[in-house]
This record gives sequence, C-alpha cells and structure tokens, in this order.
Amino acid sequence: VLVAATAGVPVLLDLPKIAKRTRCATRYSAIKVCYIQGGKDYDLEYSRETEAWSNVDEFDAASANLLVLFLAAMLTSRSVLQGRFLGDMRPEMFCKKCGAPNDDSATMCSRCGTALGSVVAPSGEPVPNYLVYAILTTVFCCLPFGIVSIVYAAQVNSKLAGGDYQGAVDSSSKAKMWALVSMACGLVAVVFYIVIAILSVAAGPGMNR
Amino acid sequence: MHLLRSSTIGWIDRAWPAAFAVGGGAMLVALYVWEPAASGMFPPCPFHALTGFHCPGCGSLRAMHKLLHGELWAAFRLNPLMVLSLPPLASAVASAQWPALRPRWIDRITSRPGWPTAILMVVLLYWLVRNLPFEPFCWLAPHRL
Repeated sequence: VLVAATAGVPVLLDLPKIAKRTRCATRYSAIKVCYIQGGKDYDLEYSRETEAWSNVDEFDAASANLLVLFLAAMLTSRSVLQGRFLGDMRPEMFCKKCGAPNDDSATMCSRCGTALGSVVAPSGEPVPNYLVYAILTTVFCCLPFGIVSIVYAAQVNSKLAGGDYQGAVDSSSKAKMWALVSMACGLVAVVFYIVIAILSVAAGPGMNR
Repeated sequence: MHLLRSSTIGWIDRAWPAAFAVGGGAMLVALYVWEPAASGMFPPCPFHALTGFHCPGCGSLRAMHKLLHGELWAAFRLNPLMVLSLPPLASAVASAQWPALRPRWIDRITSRPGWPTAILMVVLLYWLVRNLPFEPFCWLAPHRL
C-alpha cells in the first residue's frame, strides 16, 4: 500500500483483509471519511455490507493517497477496529455474530436475530493466557519469574470472566512477557555455564586442578 | 508504524512455538549428554543457592536427565510435580498447534475462569510443602536414588 501510494497510484484499502490480519474481525458496520481539499468537500463511505467504497469517483489520486496513509495508520490500531471510534457505542451493542450495531435497549440483533448481551470477549477473539509457557518456565527455569507469569495467566481468565476484555489483554501480554523473561534468564544461565565448563576443560588440567 | 508493529507482533506469536521447540530440543540433547548433578555444565537453582530452600523447579534438570535415560522412578523422586506435569503440558502444546485434535472435555476444564488460579495454588502449595522437613512432605524434595 505504501509503495503504491508514493508512486501516485490511487489505492483503496482492502478493509476485510486488514481486519482479518489484525484479528479484529467484525466490529464496524461502516467507515465514514470526511475530507476537505481545495475548498471541496469529499464524503467517502466504506460499507461492510457491500464491502465497497461509495463516492470515490470524484476523488483525485493525491488525496486518495493521503487518505490511504491515514487509514492504514488508523485501521491497524486495534481500538479503532474494535469499534471505539464510533463514539459512544459500547462493544456489547455490536452483534457478536454478524457485527451489526444495535440500539442500547435491544436484546436481539436487528439484522440476524442473535441474542445480545452475553458477550464474553467483545472482540470475539479468545485471549491467550500462555499458561503452558508459564508452567514450563516455572518448572524448568528455577526462577520466581515463572510464578509471576502464572499469576498473570490466572488474571487473564478471571478478567475475561468478569467482562474486562482490555484488562485481560493487558494481563495476557504480561504473562507472555514474564514467561519470556524467565525463559531467557534460564537459557542465558545454561549457555553461560556450558561455555565456562567447555573453556575450563579446554584450558587443560593445569587450570582446573 | 502501526502496520509494522502489528505484523511484528504476529510474527513473534507465530515464531514463539518454533523457537521453543528449537531451544527445547537443544536443551534435551545437552541434558542427555551431561549429568546436571556432576558435570558442572548446568547452573544450580539460584533460589536454592541463595536461600537453601527448594523451589518448585528444583531437581527438574536432574530429573530430565534421568527421564531421557529411561529412569522414570529416579526422575519422579527428584521432582514429582515436574514428571506429572509433562504429559498434560505435552498435550497442551500439541492441542495448541493442532486444535482439531483437541478432545472436547479438555475445553470444559480449561474454559473455567478459576482454572489457572488452581494451578497457581498447586504450585505454591508444592513450593511450601516440599520444604517441610518431616515425612511425608520431605519426600517431595529432590532425592537421589
């Protein structure tokens, strides 16, 4: 996208593909972009339903490129795709199944009829708790960091159960980080010891008596 | 910048099991060749060196050496929790790589919110109990056969 944009070719983003790659599937129903250039008012809209842009014709290449850059930065940030940029829409108000936005008081999705409200993870994406790595590093790396990782892994599940999706994501990344720290410490120590042992053997019996 | 960052994170997430497999494989070879207790090739547990108490992982390296040489009971005496946790851990890694093979009843356990906390409690309890100086708890401390 960036290469094409700087080459002056009008490019429009493949939004479904981006949403898929950033694992933030179905939170938006439409994206509106208002853009003013040279006293002219451009009003673009991307519809999820038709998966197409409207009002693109009158758009010239230069501003299309600016727009592409802006969108690329915006769309790949998760908060945007999770629907928070749509003002005061809460995640619960989006249908879990089809992604359609619904009224605050609605109990069933207006488009597909699925029951609303029992949203476990607003993004629909399970949050990994890295428990396996936490246990592995606890049992093998001999350092308290693995325990820290298990504590955060436990937080992931309890926060998810309490509906705190963002908190669960935070704990998930901390669980991963501490498992990595523990593993790195263990690996560094082992490699260090093996190198020292080989060096002292290579230095001969005179050094090692 | 955002494009770059999100793709980097995805790459790390994908490379993480592979790096684990390669590093783990190298460790297994080293553990098979060298006896951790005698060779001086492996570091002692820093927690044990500092405090004199056993941590939940104490004995794991020696136990892995025994396991790789087929001495299951000797491994079990060195670190029973580690030996017991190996089959579930192996199946967890396998089912994370191939979700289609995962039996449904595992999901019923792991979908409970309190389940990682339960494991944390087991590990902490094990940490405490294997440092108690009387039977039967002292059996959980690393023993050489």
